[in-house]
Amino acid sequence: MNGTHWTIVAYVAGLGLMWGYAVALWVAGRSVRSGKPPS
Amino acid sequence: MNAVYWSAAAASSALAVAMLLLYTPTEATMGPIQKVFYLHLPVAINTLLACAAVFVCSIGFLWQRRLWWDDLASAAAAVAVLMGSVTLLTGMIWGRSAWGVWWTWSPRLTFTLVLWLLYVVYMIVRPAVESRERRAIVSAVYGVIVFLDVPLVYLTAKLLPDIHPASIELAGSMKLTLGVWFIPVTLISVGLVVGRYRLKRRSAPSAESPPHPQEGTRGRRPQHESQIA
Repeated sequence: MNGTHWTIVAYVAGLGLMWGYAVALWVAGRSVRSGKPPS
Repeated sequence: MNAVYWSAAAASSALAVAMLLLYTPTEATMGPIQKVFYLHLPVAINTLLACAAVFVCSIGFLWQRRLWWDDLASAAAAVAVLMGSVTLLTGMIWGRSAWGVWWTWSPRLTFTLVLWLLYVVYMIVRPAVESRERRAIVSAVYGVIVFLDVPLVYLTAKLLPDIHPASIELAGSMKLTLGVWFIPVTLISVGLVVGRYRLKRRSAPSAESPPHPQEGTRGRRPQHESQIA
């Protein structure tokens, strides 16, 4: 792996963690609003 | 946070990535790995801001004894852990290419790891305290104390000999890219704090503090806006 590959890994992991958490919160919020547990 | 807010965060993320790929030059000495810096610095700053939010909310709770301060503090602590994880991860990837090692026990790296661990402990310990009121008090006192590590993280690289750079000279286009990257990272960070806080408030009456079987009504959670004492 060269510098370009590691840079891509860093951005995919970093943005993936942040946006993944946002999506998880959205799913949890939707299930709370509907009164059903997340599947 | 509504759809417009998250659309703005997504659009600014896309713009920042596009600038990274199409506009920002590759740094001559370090090569493409230097571009990790445009994500690393905004995330690191937002980690410290989330820690500061925990500190302010903890002070607010100890002063007013209103439970929403505690909910906001715990939401900010969760985001501090998330942003701290990304800071450490991107820093390690950068360090492997720049220094040849994944990790070194330099002052700034060590204090950053300690900071991350302190807020991980904050998140682990909270559910262990059953009483809602006691949990809020313990968390607030802890949230004030652990904030002492934040100035150490900031100052160590400036005051002590450290492999971690204290400041980096950037060309104009690089500065612009760095500035643009602050927008999506800050929007996401704030959005996550608010989103987690709202989720906590919505789910709190049923999930936050169920009455202990032996406590009868003593362990029942007070109303949201009520004062504990």
